[in-house]
Amino acid sequence: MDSIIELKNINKIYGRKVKTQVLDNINLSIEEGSFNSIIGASGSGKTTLLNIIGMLDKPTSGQVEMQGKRIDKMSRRSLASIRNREIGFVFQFHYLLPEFNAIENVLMPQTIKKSFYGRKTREKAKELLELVGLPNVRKNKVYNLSGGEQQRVAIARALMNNPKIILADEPTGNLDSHASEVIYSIFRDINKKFGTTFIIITHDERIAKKTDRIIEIVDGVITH
Amino acid sequence: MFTALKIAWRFLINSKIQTLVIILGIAIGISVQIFVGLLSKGLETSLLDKVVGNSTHITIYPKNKTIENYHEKQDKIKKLDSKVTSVAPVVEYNASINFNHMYEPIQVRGFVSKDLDSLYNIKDKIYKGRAIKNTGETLIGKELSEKLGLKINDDIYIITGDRSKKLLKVVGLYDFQTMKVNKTLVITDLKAAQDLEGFGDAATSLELSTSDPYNADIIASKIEKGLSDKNLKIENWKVQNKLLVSAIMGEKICSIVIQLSVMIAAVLSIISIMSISVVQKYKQIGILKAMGIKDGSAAFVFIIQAFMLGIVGTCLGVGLTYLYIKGFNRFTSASGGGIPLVTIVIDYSFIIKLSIIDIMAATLAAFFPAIKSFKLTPVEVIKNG
Repeated sequence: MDSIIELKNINKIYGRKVKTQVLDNINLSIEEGSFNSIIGASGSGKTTLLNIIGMLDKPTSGQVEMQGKRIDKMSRRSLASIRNREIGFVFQFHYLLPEFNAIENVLMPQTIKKSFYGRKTREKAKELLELVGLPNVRKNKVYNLSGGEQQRVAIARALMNNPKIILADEPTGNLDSHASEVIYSIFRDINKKFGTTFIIITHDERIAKKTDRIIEIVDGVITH
Repeated sequence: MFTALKIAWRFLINSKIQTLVIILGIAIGISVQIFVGLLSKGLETSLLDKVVGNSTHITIYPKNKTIENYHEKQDKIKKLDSKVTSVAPVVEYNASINFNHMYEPIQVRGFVSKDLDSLYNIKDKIYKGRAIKNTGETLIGKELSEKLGLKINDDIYIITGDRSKKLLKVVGLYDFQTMKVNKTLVITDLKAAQDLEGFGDAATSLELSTSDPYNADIIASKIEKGLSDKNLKIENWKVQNKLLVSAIMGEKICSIVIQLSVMIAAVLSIISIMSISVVQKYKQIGILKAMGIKDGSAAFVFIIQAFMLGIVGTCLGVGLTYLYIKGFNRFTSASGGGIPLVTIVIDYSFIIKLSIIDIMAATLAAFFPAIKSFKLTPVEVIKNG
């Protein structure tokens, strides 16, 4: 299979006076439609790696390619557009917008893409909420939902624009084991159904073992 | 853009108290601004009206004693500027009034009786008796008549410097609401005044009224150029009332300074509240950027917020101004007896102008907060949780 993400000699150094090398010459290729996990101790650089893959952060040196196109030199404007269309994010904290209700949050990536949308798009948002097992919370304010429900709304939101890749940074870090199970089974379903590529950072070895590929990172170097 | 509008609107209605505070701030700011502006304009206009109403707009004096050929000049001046509504020959000199063995120093002024109305609106100033109709009749001021105990139809003598004497009949009493004028000015017809001083058919000055008294200086210089007569001196009321004009200018500057400082205060408060708002919405902006909102749209959210706040605040402010004016009129007329101290004229173009300026200022106040929002990167937010 073709690789969807290709990292070549990525270095990331923070700080000007006191320099900290967070990522050290990373080379990584992610296959399209694969289901990957990144594990590592805290401070090992896994979030930085994910942010670089997701174009939220730029590497100090090295090349990032997405579907064969170099993206590390692109303007902020084009990157924003790629993030909107191709990438879905799920963070440890749900980061839903409290000013909007559940379905409006799900629709947000579409709202950013196109100011106006029709009934079809609304139907799709409804379906996504059903897919994550929340058919009845559409009009609820997000702060009235439980932690697990909020995270599931965030997943539905990440799926809204049919992204090619979903990047999840400890998506179940704040959830109990049952809620975590639910979320991972949703991820698996989506991966199978839509062929969406997943890269998930996790602490939980049990979850990591269920993924197709485990990428282990130690002190900014991929060891596995 | 519509996305930014949608987000801006939600941000506003979700922090209702904060929104209300900003709107009130803008409203109070603009209402004070408009009120001070209108009050100052009202003060200016009523002061000027009082002064202009009681003085000639433009006066032409001879450099020697009299203007002999005043008929000819009259016609010429009228042709020079269409804004000149009347040109009145006046005979004016100092004399004494004698009544019942009492003598008072006075100033005699003789007019053609129809000019008295166009120049001074004399019919409104006469509170007893009537205007001059025939030669040999006179109008006396309120204070002078009280001092001498004069009544309508009394005969008085005017005695000039060279001891010539003339009998005049009092037909009316006037009040110009200036004691100095009421005490010394004796108005009579042109012919009687000419006869008394004995210089034939000549005038000591020409008094002009115009349809545009506030530009009397411009009209005056136009006439001066047109006449180009070195023997004539042309003055306008602005020169004659320099003190008043400078006082009004000073008051005008004060009013502008007050208006500006109020606006600056309002703008600064919008800047600070908006900056706080950006910090409050850091997470939201960060995540919106992660989801792909453009930097420009993220900045635009705050510009739109400020614009909407500006519009609502300004509308409320204009409403408040009406309340202030009502309150002011009620408060000042209670002690003044019916008529308000300063007549506030509601100048719509002034209100609209200020409103537009304030809405623009409010919108621009969001500029720095918007830049902050523009520059924010999603990583900053995600890292800090």
